[in-house]
Amino acid sequence: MSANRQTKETFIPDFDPIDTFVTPWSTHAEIAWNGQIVTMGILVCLACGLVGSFIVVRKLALMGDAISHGILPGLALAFIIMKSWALFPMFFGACVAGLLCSFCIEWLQKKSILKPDAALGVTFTTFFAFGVLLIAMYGGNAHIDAECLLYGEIGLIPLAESLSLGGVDLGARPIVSMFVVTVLVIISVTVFYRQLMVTSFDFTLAKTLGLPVTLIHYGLMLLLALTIVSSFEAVGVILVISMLIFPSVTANFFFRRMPAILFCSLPLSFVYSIGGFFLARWLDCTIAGAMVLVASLCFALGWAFGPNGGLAWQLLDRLNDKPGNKNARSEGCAVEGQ
Amino acid sequence: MNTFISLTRNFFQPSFFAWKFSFAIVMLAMGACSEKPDHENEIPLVVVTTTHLYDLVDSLAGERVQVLSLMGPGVDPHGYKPTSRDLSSLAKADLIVFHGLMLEGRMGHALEQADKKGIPSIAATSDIPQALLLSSSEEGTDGHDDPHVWFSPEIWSVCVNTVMNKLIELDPKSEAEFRENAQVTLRQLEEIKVWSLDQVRQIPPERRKLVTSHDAFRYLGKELGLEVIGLQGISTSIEAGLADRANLVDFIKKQNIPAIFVETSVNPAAMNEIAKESGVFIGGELFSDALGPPGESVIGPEGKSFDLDSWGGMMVHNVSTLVKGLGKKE
Repeated sequence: MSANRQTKETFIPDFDPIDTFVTPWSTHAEIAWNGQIVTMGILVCLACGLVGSFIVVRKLALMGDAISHGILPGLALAFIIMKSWALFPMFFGACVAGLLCSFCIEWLQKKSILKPDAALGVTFTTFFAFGVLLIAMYGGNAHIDAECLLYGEIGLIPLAESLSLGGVDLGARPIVSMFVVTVLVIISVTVFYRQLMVTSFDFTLAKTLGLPVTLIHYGLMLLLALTIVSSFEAVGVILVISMLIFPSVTANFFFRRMPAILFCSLPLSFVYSIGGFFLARWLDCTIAGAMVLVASLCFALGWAFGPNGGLAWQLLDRLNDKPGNKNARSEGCAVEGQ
Repeated sequence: MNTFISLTRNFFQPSFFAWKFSFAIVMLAMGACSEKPDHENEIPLVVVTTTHLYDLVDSLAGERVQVLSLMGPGVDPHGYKPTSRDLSSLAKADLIVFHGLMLEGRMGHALEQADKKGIPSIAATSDIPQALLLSSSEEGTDGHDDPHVWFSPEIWSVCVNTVMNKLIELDPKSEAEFRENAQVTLRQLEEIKVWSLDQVRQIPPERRKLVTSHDAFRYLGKELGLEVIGLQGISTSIEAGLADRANLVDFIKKQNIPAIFVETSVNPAAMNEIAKESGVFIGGELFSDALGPPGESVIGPEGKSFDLDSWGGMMVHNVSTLVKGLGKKE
């Protein structure tokens, strides 16, 4: 029986360039299938990267973690009320729960003696536990469980049901919804760029300018919730968190200005998605996991060789013994504002 | 550092251009989605999920199709994650045969959808009459059906017919051969059923109790008149609670059960502890959610040899292990 099945004798299989790079694209069916996987990966990384850049500069890196777990009760309630996996109630439920979760975190932070990280931990675990309970009590044959939320399967995206509008086949539903969300993220980031920047870097200035600080904060949280909801099905929430954080921190080793860091999400999303796909092909493992491994690899490369605070450059400065330079570099680690 | 800042400024200017460019790529990739598989002159590729289905399709159409199994021997289908190559084989498949009844979890839903996406797919269990299916839990609250139907020769023969009909649809030229192979398979099912009943009659009635890791053997129990007690529920993904364990240990002691059994596709740690606590021995390994390893065989009815990686070998092995563990009449 095992003659037909590739058995793994070694931990790391031999690298076969033809099998890794060419075979996945040899038939129409495979091009269509793998193309959809890579496209979905790019869309997820791009949307997460753009939103994530603002989340990271606001020192809310783990807010993604919180919201991605906090949406579970929303999904569960949407399912219990609607009795189906319908798209819009699910989106709506998840976004409301995500916003509520971020609201509770803010509120706890302001009204109690809890530190921000503790407030975050208290809130999202409560939300998640509530969601698990709801599913256990009323979910029954809800085809959602905590596991389905935590680990997605990007490889099965091509089999998702098609979405058609007026008789035109638009493609697999997760890809279409992810595409819409990505466009929405790009538009909002472009339109509200100034507001997002000022509130992220200079809270006092933003208040003096009379900007609706709270509204902008929750707008960003809504965007974050939307991104997470549309991508968790594909890559699972644990990997969404890494996609939120990795692009901006990696770009930070190369660029100091926010626009450049935001723009870096695009090439990085291609590298993560395509690189992850080929790595998974080579190692014969799950694709989403390989994508994050590639992201970590890029981060390590940036940390080692990035001109903005990279280890190699620090070493070079120390060898040249130029104290002025050294100061400049260490200051340069932080992202600058306008 | 100044160079980087200026680089940055220039970088951001044409960004709208780049965004448009990326949209174009996305649109192209989406356009490619509607392509259909196109390889008709090769021998058809049938991708199956579990080892049971591999054996089934292989015995029906071994020569006529290429069969590929996603899960190997000893893989637990409840927790299976497809790898990159598994997924590529799905993309190339001419027919996907999966088990259904939620055995493959979320992947089952995706495979069901494949039929609408131009890759023919069928759940082997789709034609089983509802009356034959057992509900997954005794309370029957959550409405799932127990997916472990291969232990019942009666139900499995329905699956044989379902898969046979689908194979005929795939390759109408070989219809006669498929039907003949199906007859052979069905005869074997009947033969093993008679033999198994005969074997189990050798166990004293008060000892006909099968204690094992998860509720996989309820069809086997119903078929052979055994009482089945599982530590975990129907799916292996839910860990047993402490109370479940304590109850089981009490039960084993009270009922004087001589041996309990572990499964090849489930971690035996919990069962080993229970065996230690209740002072019984492990009667052996049973094949539950996956068939045995290739290349090994077991002696069954009328001294015939059955491969452990076939349905027949699985049944013969399980029944002989049970009879040996629970003890024959003195």
